[in-house]
Amino acid sequence: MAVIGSLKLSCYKSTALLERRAVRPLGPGERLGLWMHLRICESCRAYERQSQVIDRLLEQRSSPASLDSGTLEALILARIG
Amino acid sequence: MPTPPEPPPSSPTDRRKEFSEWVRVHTGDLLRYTLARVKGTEVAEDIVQLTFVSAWETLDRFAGDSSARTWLFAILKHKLADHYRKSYREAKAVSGNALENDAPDSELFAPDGHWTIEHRPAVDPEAFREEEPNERLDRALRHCLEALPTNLRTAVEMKYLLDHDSDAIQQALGISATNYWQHLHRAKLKLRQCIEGRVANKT
Repeated sequence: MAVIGSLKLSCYKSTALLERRAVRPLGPGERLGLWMHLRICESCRAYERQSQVIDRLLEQRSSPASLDSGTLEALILARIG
Repeated sequence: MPTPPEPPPSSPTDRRKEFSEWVRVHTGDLLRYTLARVKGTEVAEDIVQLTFVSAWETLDRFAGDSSARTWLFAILKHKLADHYRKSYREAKAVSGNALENDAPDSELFAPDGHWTIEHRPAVDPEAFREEEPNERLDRALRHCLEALPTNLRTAVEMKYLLDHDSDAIQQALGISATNYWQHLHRAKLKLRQCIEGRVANKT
């Protein structure tokens, strides 16, 4: 069936849709196509999980706690003179 | 109604003393936040300096209805957005519109758009197990963000800075929606691959 055929997605397209879905809802055709693809593609399911882990890390990240900001503080204080 | 916090003291000497205290208390946190989000220590330090200078110059507008920390972070985020806009423009001037095509990344995908055998994501790689705190994963992310091309890194940073407001980000960077989603997609593909490789090599 041509309709089903047109819903067949590549891994490239599926991973692109996964990224967009993380921000805003997909259209009905896109949702169905993605659902069908994820059912048969283990690698894209793995990508989906890993992408979500990366999103969580990006949201929370900070730099190491040990940091000497003394020099910078002195510079700033000098500038506001 | 909660009692509003004290407004900044009004005599110039008092104001300066109070502000110096803010510098001492908040510089470390502002710098840590910035270091995680831009490339290079010098760039981060410049942005934090600009933030304080700007705060000092507009101290009259600090109404005291938020904490100094909240106010400073709001200014910092403006400075970061300026920085990203500028570095995006510069990166674009250098590399032209090389990225504005929709072909699958040939390193990762076969011409038909399916993963190549070498590059398809492993099903449950050690790299992405979230035992907390996962210092190795954090380190890998930091390294892999630094390794991203500027335009991709900028799109990712703006996404978090502007709270996922895609329209605002596209406008700020002057790129089309298609281009923006493509940037995020490519950035994620690269980050994922880089993190997996890096953690597997125990570096």
